[in-house]
Amino acid sequence: MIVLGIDTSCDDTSVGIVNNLEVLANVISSQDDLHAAWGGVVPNIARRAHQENFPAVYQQALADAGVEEKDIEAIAVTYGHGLAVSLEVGLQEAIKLAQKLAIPLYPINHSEGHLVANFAQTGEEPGLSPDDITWPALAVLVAGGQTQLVKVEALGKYQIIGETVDDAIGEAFDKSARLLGLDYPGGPQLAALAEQGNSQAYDLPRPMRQSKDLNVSYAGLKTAFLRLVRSLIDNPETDKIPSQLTTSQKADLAASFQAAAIETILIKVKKALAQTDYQHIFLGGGVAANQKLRQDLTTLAQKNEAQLHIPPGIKLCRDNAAMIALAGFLASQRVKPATNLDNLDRDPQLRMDE
Amino acid sequence: MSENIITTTSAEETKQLAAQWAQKIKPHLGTQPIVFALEGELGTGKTQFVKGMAASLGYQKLVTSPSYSLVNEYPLPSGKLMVHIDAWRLPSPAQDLLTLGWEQFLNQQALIMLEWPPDVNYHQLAPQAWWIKGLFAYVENQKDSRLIRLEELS
Repeated sequence: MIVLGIDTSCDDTSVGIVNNLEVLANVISSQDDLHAAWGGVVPNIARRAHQENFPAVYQQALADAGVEEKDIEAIAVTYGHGLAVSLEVGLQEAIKLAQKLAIPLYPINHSEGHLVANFAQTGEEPGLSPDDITWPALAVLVAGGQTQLVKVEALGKYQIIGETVDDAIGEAFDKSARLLGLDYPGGPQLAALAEQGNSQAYDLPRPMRQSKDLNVSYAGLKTAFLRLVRSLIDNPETDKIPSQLTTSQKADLAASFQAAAIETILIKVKKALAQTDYQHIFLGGGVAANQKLRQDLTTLAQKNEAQLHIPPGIKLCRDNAAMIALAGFLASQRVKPATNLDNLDRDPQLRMDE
Repeated sequence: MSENIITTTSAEETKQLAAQWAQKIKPHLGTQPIVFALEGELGTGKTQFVKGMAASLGYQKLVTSPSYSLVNEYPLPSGKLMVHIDAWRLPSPAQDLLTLGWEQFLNQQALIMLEWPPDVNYHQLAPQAWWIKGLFAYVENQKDSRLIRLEELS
């Protein structure tokens, strides 16, 4: 089944095409450069860029996949969670396409996309199949707008067992990176800088370590990091901070922050593994590209005799539409498509258990 | 015009302060738009204040930071709407607010918690609204204390 997926949940315009679980195309047009000056996504700019980029991204996806419009058998589109103004653009394009081609449309939860990215088949190697999984499995979803631990009873059956009570881990990475003078989105650059630093150079908290639940908090860490950085310098003005830090201070700060941010979520993954005998752990979301997180989770999974799954390739970790197409294909095997397309609306705060 | 300057010593106290304001605005909810314009650096308790407000108005689900999503909508059990908007780092906040649904929220007589940059002429944004300005700041050398000033704008 050829499914075309669309994701415009935040600042990337993406169209992906799959044939069942095989990824045929995954085109992402990033708006990072447009938003870099503002340190985050700007709604006006994002909406306009999505509208302008979509036609070319769509044509490129068809060309990459080597399929024609008439070959598409279903549309899948992210309708939440995300930025309302961004989601609207993708949803409208999806509805237009489904009506024009008279094919079914599957509205998809963006977080579910990050989860099922683990089943993507790319290239020659056979991918992971849902039939290989012993349920329930644990999903660790770490992204710019989301940090969640999800108990997956089966595909389509989710229970959020832990989540951030304030900021997401990816956002904490990006904001701390900005303090160190790294351009938006600075998370990956901060991780690279951390390679050269000493993670024990500075003491940072692991918020909610002691709480009995599986929730995490990143606002407290972000605040502690700001305080720490300010304690090292004379002029506290935010944009004057980077120039007052030495290269080795920056590397040590990055390493100490990364260690704290990752341990914060690992503590709760450990707790989840102690509560339920999960044999499979899925990692997903942009922060899944982080090497230290991958290493630490691999070690933790081995200790618990669980298998850790990571989406094949960094492109499938970040926001992308191939994962939405995959989720659409998997949804088509268990649920009916949307019936009343005119009433279909975006849901910026959509949760996986809704 | 009335003014309040409070020092809170924990996130819990910041939430309690919000609860007091919740009682004050409750009778007016839905009769006119009410806007709390919240200024202050990250980590000074703005989101804690919003959490306290939502809880006092009966919203039982999780309230998180809108710094990524920019707008979070919280339908209250009373049928009224509470909105949390993060506009402080936007390049042209007034214009971006319109894109984020500002006029629609005003028409719905919503309670709007607006994180906003300093030095702005509030009345231009919504002359018909009841404006309360909140300033949030750290207290030197006291890790968990915050100085919070809440001021009604006439």
